[in-house]
Amino acid sequence: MEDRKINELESLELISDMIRKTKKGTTMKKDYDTFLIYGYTALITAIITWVIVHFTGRGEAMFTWFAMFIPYFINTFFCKNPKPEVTTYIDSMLGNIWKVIGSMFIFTVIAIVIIGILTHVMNFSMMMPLSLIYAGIGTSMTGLVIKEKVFIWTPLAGLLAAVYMLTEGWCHNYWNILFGMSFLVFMIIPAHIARNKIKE
Amino acid sequence: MRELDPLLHSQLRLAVVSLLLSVEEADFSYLKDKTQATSGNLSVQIDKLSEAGYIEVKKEIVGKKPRTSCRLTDKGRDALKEYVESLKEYLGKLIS
Repeated sequence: MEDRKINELESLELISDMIRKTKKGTTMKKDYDTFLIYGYTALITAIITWVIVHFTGRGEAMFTWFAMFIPYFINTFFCKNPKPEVTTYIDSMLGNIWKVIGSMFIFTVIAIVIIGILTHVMNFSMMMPLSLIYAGIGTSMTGLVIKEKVFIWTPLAGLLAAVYMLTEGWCHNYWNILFGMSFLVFMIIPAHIARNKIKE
Repeated sequence: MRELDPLLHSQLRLAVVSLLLSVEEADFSYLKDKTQATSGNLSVQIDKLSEAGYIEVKKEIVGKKPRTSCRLTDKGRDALKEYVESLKEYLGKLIS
């Protein structure tokens, strides 16, 4: 392309052509990878935790759930993420949504620790239903932004599990399986479906 | 009839502004790839758009490499809107 004068019709064609070019290739594939990384981390951690608690009866095994922060730390401190060539408005909106969701996770952990220190009762059991609600909201909002129905409605499964846990009030070992299955339903399966759509 | 903005009525500058219309930020290599322009020519046109206040140019060092990124300003967005309105007016007169 050169710096040459164009006629009026060429101008309109050029504008629409350039806008079309920005739409092409701005797929969500990378973000689906993030869904899969966190989804599988949750599923594997759920199974490992359930197995340890089931066979040892030790409730302390629930601390394996802190493994959920591993992908975040690896990504932040060990992965070289070059700045993308282009940032769309959707990219930045999704980034902000998950920043807020991530902050909610961190603040909940901090709040539980502070309350635990003050009351001498460190109870992380509410972390599980709250995490399902937070992650579900983030996934649903992502689905709305990228117009992917499979992400919008499947978090209701997680919400159902979270409400069930909240009404029970105290953590049981099968909550681990419930948690892992919820992530399978609203994060892993939808991410695979969406990725397959890109391949097609 | 309204005058067409001479700054935008050029193939490469119009392409750059149109590309930046639907993204928040794009770097130099992205713009070069999409416009198929030479680096030298693209740099000159980016400078002209930047001097007019149509785009904002940010130069930084990322991982020891220089990176130039551009984003459309409100002034640039308004100018493109005005330009499209003028085009519509012009083409409308041709048809009627």
